[in-house]
Amino acid sequence: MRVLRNVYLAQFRTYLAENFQYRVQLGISILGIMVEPVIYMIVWINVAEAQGGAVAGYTASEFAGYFVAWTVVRQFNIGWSPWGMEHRIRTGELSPQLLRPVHPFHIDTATLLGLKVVTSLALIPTIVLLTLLFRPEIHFVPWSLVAFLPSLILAFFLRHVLMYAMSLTAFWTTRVTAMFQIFFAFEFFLSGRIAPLTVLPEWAQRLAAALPFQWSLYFPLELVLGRLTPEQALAGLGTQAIWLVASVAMLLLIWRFGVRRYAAVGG
Amino acid sequence: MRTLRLIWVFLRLSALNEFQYRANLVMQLFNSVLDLSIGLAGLALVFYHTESLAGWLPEELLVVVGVHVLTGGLLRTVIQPSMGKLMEDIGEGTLDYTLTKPEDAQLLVSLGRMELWRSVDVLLGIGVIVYASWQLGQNVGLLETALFSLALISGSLLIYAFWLGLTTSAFWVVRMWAVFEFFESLYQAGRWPVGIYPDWLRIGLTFLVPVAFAVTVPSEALTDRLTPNTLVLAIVLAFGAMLLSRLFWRIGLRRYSGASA
Repeated sequence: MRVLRNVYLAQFRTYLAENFQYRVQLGISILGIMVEPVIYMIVWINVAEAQGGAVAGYTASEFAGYFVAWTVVRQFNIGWSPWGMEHRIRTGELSPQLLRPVHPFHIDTATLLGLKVVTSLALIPTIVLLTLLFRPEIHFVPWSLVAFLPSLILAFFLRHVLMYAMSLTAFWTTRVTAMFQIFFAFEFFLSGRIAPLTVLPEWAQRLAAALPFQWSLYFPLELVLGRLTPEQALAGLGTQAIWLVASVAMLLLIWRFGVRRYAAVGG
Repeated sequence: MRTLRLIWVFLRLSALNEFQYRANLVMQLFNSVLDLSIGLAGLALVFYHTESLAGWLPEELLVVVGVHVLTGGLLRTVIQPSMGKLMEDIGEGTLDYTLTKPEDAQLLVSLGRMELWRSVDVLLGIGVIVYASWQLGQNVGLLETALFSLALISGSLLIYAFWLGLTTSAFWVVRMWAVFEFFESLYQAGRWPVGIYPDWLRIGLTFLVPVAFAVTVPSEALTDRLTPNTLVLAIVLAFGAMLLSRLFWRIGLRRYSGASA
């Protein structure tokens, strides 16, 4: 456990130092992250206004609030890049990593956490700007905001572990791209990314409830917006934990069988 | 004439090159169809709640989606790959190889790299536009087609000039990739008519980044919305932008010192 902690700290620090060198680039990529929520915010504000002020339980300014909070949660739930593992396996870069005494997963996770620190600093001016431009309306509920913190952490780990596990299928096929594109397409609609889930037709809402996507975006969002009862919040955190455990189990299983198939190219 | 022949040679070369990797065509088809489906499902979701968006009917927005896919295809087949290569060449000094050739350097770099499979989007976009116009039941005659083509060409030239200008700044600032990605994501804004955006953003998407001229204006030509003023403005701006970007390119080129210098 001590060793693992030191690994995380060291990796985290290196990454932080590396990234503070490229502040301008980081600022621009944050601007890029703003584009998507702003587009959909404006689309739904237009729809709400055309329908006399509200759609699916959201007024125009509540849609603005939804997508401002969206920008924050989305920034945190960005996980492991699915193409990273494919590249490593194909090129044999994975070999030296297998020789290290810690699982590559920990190193990748520490790197990502380092990135989160840098991006959350850049998020502050982004949120101020969005708030000034769109006048969002959010009814903050104190206990709900407290519950938001663990839900955000669970959201990140759930999505990260799930994507990591899926990226390991690259042990069998070096073309995981198609699978991930389908994954992202479903996620786009069923996680709350294009709109709050209440906007979806009922059959799609039922589908969303059976899948893990909403637990890494929509659920934390509902907590920020104060739209849940304490019971719903607790049940939600529990569901997040269950999905996380399932994803970790999947990761371990795929890793165990996959790594046996790995035959390094060169070295 | 010479220019056309050169373009033909480049097209043939990259076709020969890409036909080695035919499996990529299947991948590209899959990508394009999936992207289009996501776009259409998003549209369906919006019209599940409302009959019109900022005055646009569902079939009319379908035209916008079609034009967005079509110009996006042009952008990703020729403009973006070539400009990406240009930026690499400036950074590494390999632009030398292009500059020593006895043809106009701007033309050469603008055709520097093509990803022909991406032109699947051009065909797909045309398909969507034809279907949507047929659904609208308006007679899109010779006049509308001509106006649409004019608007589309102006818009495409504007986008080209914009990207060339952006890439030319690499002569001064080498690290431009983040800026590239940012403008690529801004292009997504064109999936919706610019009329839905608040004033400041609409002006930005019209004059700073020519998304409005590339997507919304051609769509207006097919949906009975285009005013003569807008079309004239688009043509004049396209001319101006082409001249300006060429001038800027010349100035930038003078700063280039090559790999060996």
